[in-house]
Amino acid sequence: MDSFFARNRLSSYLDRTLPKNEAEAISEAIARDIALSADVQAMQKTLSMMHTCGRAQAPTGFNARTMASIAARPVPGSQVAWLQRRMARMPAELLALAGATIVILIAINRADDGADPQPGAQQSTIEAPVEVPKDNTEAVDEASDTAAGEPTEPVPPPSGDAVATVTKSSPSKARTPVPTTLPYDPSSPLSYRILHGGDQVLYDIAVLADETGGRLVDVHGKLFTPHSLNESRSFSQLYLITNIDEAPKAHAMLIERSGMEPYPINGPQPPLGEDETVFLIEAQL
Amino acid sequence: MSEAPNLIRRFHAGEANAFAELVSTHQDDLYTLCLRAVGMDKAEALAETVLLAAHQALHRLDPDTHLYNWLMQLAVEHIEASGPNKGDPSGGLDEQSTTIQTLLDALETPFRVAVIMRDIIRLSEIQIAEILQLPLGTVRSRIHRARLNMARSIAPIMDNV
Repeated sequence: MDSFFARNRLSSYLDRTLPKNEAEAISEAIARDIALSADVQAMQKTLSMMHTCGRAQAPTGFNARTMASIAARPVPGSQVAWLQRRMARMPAELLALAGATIVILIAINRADDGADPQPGAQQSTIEAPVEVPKDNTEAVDEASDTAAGEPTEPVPPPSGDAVATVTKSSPSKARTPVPTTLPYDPSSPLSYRILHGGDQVLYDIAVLADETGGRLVDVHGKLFTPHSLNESRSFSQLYLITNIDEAPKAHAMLIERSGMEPYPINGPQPPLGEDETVFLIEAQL
Repeated sequence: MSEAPNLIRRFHAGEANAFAELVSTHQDDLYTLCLRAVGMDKAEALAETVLLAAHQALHRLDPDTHLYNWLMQLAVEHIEASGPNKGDPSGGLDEQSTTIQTLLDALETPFRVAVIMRDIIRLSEIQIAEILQLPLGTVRSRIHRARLNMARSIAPIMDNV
């Protein structure tokens, strides 16, 4: 073996991981070549120093200092972290709240004045209930009452076109409270849709999972990592697995968050443990 | 490196001591890697940063993950992001330790990390390949080149150490 190939195998030679015949060939090359022999000696010295003096122990109190730093931070995935995320988004929400308050105050003032409503305004107030989905009868009644004190008449059920119009033009109106008393049947797992959930909807679902002591997984049962939704990644399908005792609570919270009636799961489900049940969640930006 | 049994599961279950146990189990290897990779000045802060990042990510880690490898992988990512060591290599170390640090500082980060794991922390080449997520041949090559560079740098001063 020439010196070039021998030099390329010096590490393995010193680690004693070479086959016997190859190690013997390298020993012969080292005996022949003074430069190679010097490399071997220098490498042996380096290895010896690293083996004996290289390791270090963590400084005294390192563990305590690290744990103190960790204690000063919010627990990941907890309600504190959730609150911090909310606080970061507060200015936009406050602005929206202020805008909504102004609109409501103007509407109340107009109703109190008893003035003839503008034709356009009347039309929009009457049309609003028609745009609300079927199950929001309470909202329909309220809106009818504010229509310049006119007698309440039965409001025709919304057509499919009208509901579709709402979904496209004003998504916030589509999210209406749904009774959370719908019975939960553990023998038939359900799927819940969260439309227009916002970019942080998956984090909200993670908080919901925390509150019900559950975990979020994909269809194979691997833990699901929440992430922000955006235009290019606007939909996510995940499973919440909870203990069967927590299932009614999770069911109620999911219906409240979804604002829509759940439907039975048709398709694969992640593997479940004993006394566990599963909820399919389809979340959209 | 043996794994602490079910440490990730215990952390997921909310056991208060689970993370403290993780720190005390792995702190020496983690600190050694940081010390030799970025120097005395930044080592402790970097090791703490790695553990904080681990704490933030651990709640969504698959319980079957090899915790030690994952932690070292996280450390390597932070080391690569922190850049080369420009501090004083002696910084409180004895003469031989300073010599090692000087030789390591002269290496590029990928070679330095590989040789630290192999010859100082004494991990196997297979485990290093798993941590660095590289083919075994690449890891062997990096270790060999690092050793050879260090050997050639130490030769002129070998009589003094």
